[in-house]
This record gives sequence, C-alpha cells and structure tokens, in this order.
Amino acid sequence: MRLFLSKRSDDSLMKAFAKGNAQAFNELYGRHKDALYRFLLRASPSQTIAEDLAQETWAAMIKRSANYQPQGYFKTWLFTIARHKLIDLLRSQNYRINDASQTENDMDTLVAEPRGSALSELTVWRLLAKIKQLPSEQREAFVLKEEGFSLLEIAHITGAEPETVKSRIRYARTRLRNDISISKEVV
Amino acid sequence: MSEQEDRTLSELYQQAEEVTSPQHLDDNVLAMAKLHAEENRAKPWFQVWNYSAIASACVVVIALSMVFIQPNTEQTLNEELWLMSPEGRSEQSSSAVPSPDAVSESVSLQASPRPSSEQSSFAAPSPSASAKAVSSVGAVSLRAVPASLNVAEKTVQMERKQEIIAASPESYLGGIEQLIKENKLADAHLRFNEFASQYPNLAQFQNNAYAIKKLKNTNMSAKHVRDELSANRDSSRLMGFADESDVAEVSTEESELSTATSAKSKSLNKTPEQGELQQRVNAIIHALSSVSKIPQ
Repeated sequence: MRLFLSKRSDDSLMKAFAKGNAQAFNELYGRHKDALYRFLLRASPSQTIAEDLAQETWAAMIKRSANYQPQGYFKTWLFTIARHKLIDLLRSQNYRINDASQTENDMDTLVAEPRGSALSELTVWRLLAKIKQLPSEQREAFVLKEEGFSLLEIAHITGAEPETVKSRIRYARTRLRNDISISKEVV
Repeated sequence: MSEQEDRTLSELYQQAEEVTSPQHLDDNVLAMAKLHAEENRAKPWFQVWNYSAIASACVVVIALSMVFIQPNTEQTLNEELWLMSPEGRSEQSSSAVPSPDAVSESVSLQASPRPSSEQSSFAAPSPSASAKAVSSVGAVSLRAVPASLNVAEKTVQMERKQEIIAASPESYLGGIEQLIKENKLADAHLRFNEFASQYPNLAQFQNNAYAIKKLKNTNMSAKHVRDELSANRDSSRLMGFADESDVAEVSTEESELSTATSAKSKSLNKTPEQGELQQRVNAIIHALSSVSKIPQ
C-alpha cells in the first residue's frame, strides 16, 4: 500500500473525503494510524481488542465525516472517538485493567521482538507491563502525553481539567519510576 | 532528578514505539473508506434531482401559473363595456382588417344623426376610466372580486349595462350591429335581450318582426305552390291531384296573405315615433331572425 503524505491540513483532507475523495482519506490514515493504534494497544487489555477498537474508531470517523466541523483539531477528535470506544468496550465486558493476571497474559503481545541490549529490552518490557497496571485515567493521560498531545488536548480528549490531567501524568510517572527502579533492583 | 527520570521514561517508551498498525487492519479500514467515498461522491444535478423533486416542481409551477393567470373579471367587464362604446367600436373597426363593408358601416354609424346631449351624457369608458366608474357606482371595488361572480356582482354588472343602455341606446345598438357584422350572433342575441329588457316597447318589434317574417314565408310558400301548379297544371289535372278550382283557391289565399302582409307591414311601419331607432331595431331583429330564432 502506497501512502504518501502531503502538506494539506487534516481539515482540508477531511473535507475532501466528505465529498468523496478516497485519496484524501488515505493520506489522513497514513498520518494517524500508528499513533492511534499504539494508544489503543497501550490502553486496551489485548492486541486483538486494540485492533478491533482501531477499526471501530476509523469506521466511526468515516461515518461522521460528513458532519465534521473543521476546527483544526482532527487528531484530538479522532482520539476522543477512540477513547469513547475503549470506555464502552471496557464497561460492556467489565474488564479490569488492573487485573495483573490478565495483564501478564497479554504482555507477550505488547512487544513483538526485543531489540537492543538485554537490559534495555527487559526494561521496556517491564515499563509497558507497568503501564498496563496503571489506573485507567493515569494510563491514558500518560500514553497520550507520550504520543505528543499537549495538556489542553489531553484535557479535551479525556474531558478533564488540564490541572487534573497534569496531576494524573505526574502520578503515573512517579509510579512508573518506582516500579522501574524496583524492577531494576529485582533485575 | 525527577525530570531526568521522566526523560528516561519517555526514552524507554519511545524504544517501544516501533509498533505499527497491522496490514489487515489497514486493508479493512481503507476498503471501508473507499466504499464510503464512492457513495458520497458528488452526483451531477440531474441525478440529484430525482423524479419526485421534478414532479413537485412542476406542480408548484402549475399552481403559480393558475394563480397569476386567472382571468380578471373586472377587466373583462370593462373591455366589454369599452367595446360597446362608440370609441371602442371605432377603435375596433380601425384596428381590424379594413373591409369595404366594415368601413362603410363605421362611417354610417358615425354619420348617423345623434343628439348631442346623448353623446355628451355617455362618457366613453376606457378600460381604466370604466374601472374607476364601476368602483364608484357599485361601491365595491371589483379588483377584490374573486373569479366566480356572485349575485351582487352580477347585479352591479347588470345595473352598469342598464346605465349604458339608458345613456346611449344608439351606441348599444351599434354594438349589437357590430356583433352581427362580425357574425357573433349568440352575443348579439344576449345583448339584444338586455336591450329588450330595458326597452320593452321597442322589444315588441321583435314579435312584430316575427309576424312579418311568418307572413312573408307563407307568402313565399304560396307563391312556390302556385308556380308549381302553373307549371304542372296539365299533369296535375291528368293525375287528378288538382283542378282549376284548386288553383283558384290557392291564388285566393295568396292574395289574402299578401294583402295581410302588406297591411301588417304598413301598420308596423306607421308606429315608430322613434324613427331611426326603431328602424335599426328592426334591422337587428331581421338580421338575427334570418339566421336563427331569437331567444326570448
């Protein structure tokens, strides 16, 4: 699949797609598909669920493309849809993200092949596992921050105040630092 | 210290960033998008305008045309009155194709002696002027009148016509003559009936004219029988259908009828004190009765 990126804004591409231009969607998809998939993969219990959620998110975005109001926040809008899909799924299936046993079972799907030094690979693996064990609000705030969103954008996506988002990120990092240091000591 | 540890966390996270969306997910999403784009592709206007939209547009156009092209009864009435006026007739005759008969008729109408008081009393209603007159006389503006005339409107119209007939019977008769000349006999009948309702004394000429016509027809039939008999006298005698006495009887009846006809005609011709007016009425009655029966 050949996806080439142009300098057109996300809003103009969405407008073109709403008028029936499939190539515009290809460009949009190429820009945001990996970031969205990563977010869902970090936040959802398993890779299968993450793939399903990603497909549902893009399907919802396609369905709502005609009503999209171009305000320069396409990525925020897309991740908001993804977060709502994730919350709906977790509520419907009564997932418990903090369930360590399930997290450990899915842990092998998070990192395909370890690269680099053995210590670094193991640390990354542990980090991703600890991210899964974070509370959902802290986890999504931390992942979104690492995906490049600002505090205001994360606040918009999660529906929380920017200060709250800032606190959640701080708590998440503190917890992860402690866990990683513990793991280092263990290792 | 914490900032450095945060950077370390971010670096570790970025090391696991190589994850990309699976190929089958890309294929599914792009297939969905392509299908949606084809459905949403802008259609030409003639495809967007389906048949129901075209039909509804036609209905709207027809309804609007019926509303705006509805005949104005007031205008029709005014035009009718204008045609009955001397100016209207002269204008109509001048605008029509000039045939010699029409020219002579219009000249005779214009040259006919007419009292000046009648001419001045009858103001020629132009379409605009008569509209004002109708509004003032009927006390109801006919501009607000709907298409179907109700009883009040008909009464106003009848009063208006009676005013015109009373103001200038000559011009009204001229209008009837014009209609006869244009071979519009049905309209002429209607106009004459209106005239007769206004002038019952003049209308009795209608009956007299019938009597004259009947007498003349009888006279003509008697003459026809006499000619036949005279031509076939010998054969009639031979066949026993007629003899000299029959012929003599027919001749006697013929002479009686012709005498009665002439007497009646003389008596009728003596009556008109109105002179020319009655002669014109007679001519109209004759013209109308020569084609068809005058409606009573």
